[in-house]
Amino acid sequence: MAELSPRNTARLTDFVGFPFHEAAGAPLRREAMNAAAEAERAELRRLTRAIRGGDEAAFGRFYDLYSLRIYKHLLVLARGDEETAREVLQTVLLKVSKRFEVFEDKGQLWAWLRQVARNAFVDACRARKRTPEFVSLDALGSEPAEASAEEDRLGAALRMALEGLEAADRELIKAVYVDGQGLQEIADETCQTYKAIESRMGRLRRKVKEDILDNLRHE
Amino acid sequence: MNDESDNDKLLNAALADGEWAALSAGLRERSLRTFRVRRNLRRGLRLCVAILVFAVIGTAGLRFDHRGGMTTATGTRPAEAAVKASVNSPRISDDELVALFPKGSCAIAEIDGRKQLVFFDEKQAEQGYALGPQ
Repeated sequence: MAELSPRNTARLTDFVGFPFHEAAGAPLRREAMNAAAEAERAELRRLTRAIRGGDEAAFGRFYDLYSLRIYKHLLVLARGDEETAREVLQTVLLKVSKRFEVFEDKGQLWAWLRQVARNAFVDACRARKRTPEFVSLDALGSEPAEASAEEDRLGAALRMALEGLEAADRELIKAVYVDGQGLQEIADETCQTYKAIESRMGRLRRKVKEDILDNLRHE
Repeated sequence: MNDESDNDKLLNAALADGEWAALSAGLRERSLRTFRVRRNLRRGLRLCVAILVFAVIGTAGLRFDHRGGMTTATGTRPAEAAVKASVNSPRISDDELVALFPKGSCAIAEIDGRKQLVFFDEKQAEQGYALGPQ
């Protein structure tokens, strides 16, 4: 009677847990991802071309997609100075509404927007002659395509703000904004009124915001 | 285009408060107004350019027509007749030769016993005349 040699058994166990299904589906997944990326590029091309062609609805859509992101970027540049960030945001959006380019790649569009924001911010600093208060532009990297620097700073500020909260509050914020749980559902689970949860959320949001801005100011 | 990470969701929730909503609504309206004005300005400019181009083309056409019309003003189209005559016969007469050019621009003169075609406006003669019916 044939017995499995230790060598053979070792070979069989090598494959335990091997993701055969994933390996077999990899080319298909890659194709699907390529198709999705291509569709995304086509959508962006359509949107930016429509804006360039004077389509007001397309510009409105662009505004909804990017205004808050530009504002967050400016908040980092202005070290949490909301007033400056809002002022520069107005300039940026007015500039963009006057002249728009056609893009196929989200990264390129964001790099262009960052450049416009950066230039507007530098102009605002020059006008106020208060440069030392703001984040050094050199520290943010000279390459406009590097999107991570500001996002990292903002992400770090958020992490610190969340760490400053009590665990229960942190959980509550995550449940509402990340998991999308409804306030009524949470109120039912915790035997509290909807109003109580709502006002607690309002307080937490304000605290997180203040802490984020504070962290950006004291970086 | 809406792939928000958890961080983004939390940041947006914290930063996009009521104050932001009010600012954003106003800013959206203002941006759209600027966008509209710019678009209309561009369209107006394009229209002006198109009108200008048509005007230039029209003026050029009229002038061209006017030059041809000089010969028709006499009513008889002598140049046309001269060209037709020259096509039918290998030789043309003095009158037919003079008729090839705008009326009053030249004449046949006898110089040193030889007939010569003399142009009254040397400059115009150097530049040339439009011959025959245009």
